[in-house]
Amino acid sequence: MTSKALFIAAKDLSIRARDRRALVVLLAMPMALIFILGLVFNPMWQGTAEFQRIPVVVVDQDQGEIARLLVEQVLGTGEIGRMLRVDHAGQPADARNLVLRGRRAAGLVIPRGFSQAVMTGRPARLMLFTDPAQSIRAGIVNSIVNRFGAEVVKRQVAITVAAETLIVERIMTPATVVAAIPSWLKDVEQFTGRQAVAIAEERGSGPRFPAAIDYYAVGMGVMYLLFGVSMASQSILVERREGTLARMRTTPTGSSDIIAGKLLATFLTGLVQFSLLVLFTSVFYKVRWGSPLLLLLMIGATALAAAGLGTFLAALARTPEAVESLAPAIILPMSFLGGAMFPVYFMPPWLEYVSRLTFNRWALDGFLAIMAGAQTPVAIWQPLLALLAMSVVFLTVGAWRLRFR
Amino acid sequence: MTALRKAWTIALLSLTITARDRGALLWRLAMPLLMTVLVGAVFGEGAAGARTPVAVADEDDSTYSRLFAERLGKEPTVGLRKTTGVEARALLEDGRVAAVIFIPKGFAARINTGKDADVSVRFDPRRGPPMLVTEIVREVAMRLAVDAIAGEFTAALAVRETQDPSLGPAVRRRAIDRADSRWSPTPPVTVNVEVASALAPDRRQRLPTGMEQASPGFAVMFVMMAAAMSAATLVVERQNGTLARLMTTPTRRASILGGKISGIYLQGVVQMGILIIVGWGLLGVNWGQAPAALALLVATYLFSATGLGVMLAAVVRTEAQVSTLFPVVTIIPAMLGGAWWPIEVAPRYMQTLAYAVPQGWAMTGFVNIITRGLGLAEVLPQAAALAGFGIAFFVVGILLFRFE
Repeated sequence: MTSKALFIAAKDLSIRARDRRALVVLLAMPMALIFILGLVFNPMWQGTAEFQRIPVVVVDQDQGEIARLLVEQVLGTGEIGRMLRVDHAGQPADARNLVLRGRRAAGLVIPRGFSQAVMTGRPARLMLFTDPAQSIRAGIVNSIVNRFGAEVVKRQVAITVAAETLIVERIMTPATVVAAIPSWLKDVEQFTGRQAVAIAEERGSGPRFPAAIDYYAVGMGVMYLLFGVSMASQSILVERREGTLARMRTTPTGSSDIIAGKLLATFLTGLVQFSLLVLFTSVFYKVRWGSPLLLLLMIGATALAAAGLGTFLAALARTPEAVESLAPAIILPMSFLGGAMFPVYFMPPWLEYVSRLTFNRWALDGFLAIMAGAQTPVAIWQPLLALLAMSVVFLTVGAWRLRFR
Repeated sequence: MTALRKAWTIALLSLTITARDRGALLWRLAMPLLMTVLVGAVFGEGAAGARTPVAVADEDDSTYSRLFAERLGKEPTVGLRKTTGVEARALLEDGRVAAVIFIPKGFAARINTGKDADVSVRFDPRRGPPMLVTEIVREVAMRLAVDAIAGEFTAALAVRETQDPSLGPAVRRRAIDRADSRWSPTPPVTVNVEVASALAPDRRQRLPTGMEQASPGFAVMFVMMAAAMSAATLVVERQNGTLARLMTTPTRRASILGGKISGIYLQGVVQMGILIIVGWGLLGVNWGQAPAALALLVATYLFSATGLGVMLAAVVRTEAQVSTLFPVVTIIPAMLGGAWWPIEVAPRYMQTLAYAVPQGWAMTGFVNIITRGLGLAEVLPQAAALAGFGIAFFVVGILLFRFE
């Protein structure tokens, strides 16, 4: 690259550095987005989502012993009591109405005869209304009620099965069983603590999933890199239109130098922009990006591929105004597919394959691998290769089509 | 021509100009539809993405161990596959399943002999702990615990009555068997769940559908973007002096401004209309069953969006400033308002913030109509709030508006 190309690049960069609007859009916006997305999704991803007290309405038509146990003891006290905000309604229709309007997440109806059914060993039913717009919270209430049901069932089944079995096996007569049941009700408590099945929840091997804010730092960072580069390539088109480019060709500077200089400027813009983002997110959001060496390598490859894409975009669009409309139309869907907004792991397999065609996907994979602790370039060889390949293809095609006539 | 006709002409003219602008069409129609399709494909009801892929490695293959697969198979949001222990590890590492449930050989035998049995749930760390799956596994484990307790209790009683310990194991087995049979056809305690929705039974959704969230969500965001873009156009016209030139004509300023504002509103109506019809007709989006409520909500949201556009055009001097403010009035409030993800998912303080922006009120209204199937009466508060926003924006905008 000749010194003329370098000079052109430097001039372009200094012009861009003074563009305050670009600064705001390309740095402040992603920072704001990363912040919001991190705030919203972190609790869910880390599994520590704390749901504010879930409003539940209860209709107790039974008023029996078991019903009161459920309402007063289970729903009203302890950890579960703290999770819920319970109030009462007179009729099931009223409860349903409250849930329908979204005023409650769920409505529990205990029909008359519930306690009786339980205590005489017959199937018993409960009714739960759920708000479709609060499916997560309603699901939690559902699970709580089910677990209560199971606790009740433990005692009921134990006693009825004991009665049946002992009678059938001729160990006791029906009369002695009936007489023994009151004491059985006490005896059974010794057994109800049994777990029987121990569930071990284990984290599988593999990289830890990053916190939401770290993930979105990468996702949004890469997406805004594309916007930055598209803005840079817009300026190439502006210059072409205004004739300043043609005018440059009347100078002794060769057109290849001009192109090289412009491309270099675009590449450096991307490099600087992303590096600034890495810096700011590390400092203000405590994002740990990982090994600095690999990071540098990755940023370089990403900026190069982005520059290629930007050039290609400019070549496609032909006018600066067209870039303004075309750029987001390409960048937004591509970023989405690449995992900028939702992790690729949530996508169906066929969509995951499509995502491999996008620039964002490879950039994300590389940066996330470094974040997860990669120490050698071997760990990121695939993203690096893909990005370099994209750079070559897009830069060549783009620069060729942009030949300044 | 009367002042009204002039205003109307100006309004129609702006609509025609926008209709011929390919960039505008891209942003106002193609983009929201494309994003809706993409997001709907990932999270929609039919999409595999809506179901969590889970594998069960059942090395015991007994009546009891099979309970896990049976129960998981009944859950609509779980995509179940059966596999072996060895294959399961690979599936997990490749990220092709979110979690694997391992049931070791001898599971049933241990339960039948009164010992504790083990089950393990191993999850893909990239997806985080699978809360629903763990809950389901706990449910099945609870059932087996009930059986085991019944078995233990009965065996203890039998031994106590007969003073013959050798009876224990056989009695236990039979009791466990008997206990487990009580779960069908009807479990001892059933919880009947009914989704409270005003939608007609055949249209009631059981699953949260990505489309239902994405379609109104993106419509809300892109409508506001269109309003902001129209504001940019006004600002450019002011910068160029085109607006000032209009003042030299016999048309009154009120007509000009009224025409421009009506033009923005009209474009919004057409945009929203097309998005709703295409969403409903082509993408199968359920827009609820209360057209009157929908119309009112859309009308008031457009009113607030138009107002915001006018206020923006009045307050801002250059097009560059509009570009800078653009994401602040369109993308960020859309996120806060529940356009990108269901409001339910966000932390409580963020949910409160949703009500600070018109987008939040609009999304609440859409959720009421689409997800809950409610009608005009329930949507009135949202419509009123949106109208209030609109009035406030218009007052500021019209008072501050300058033609040059």
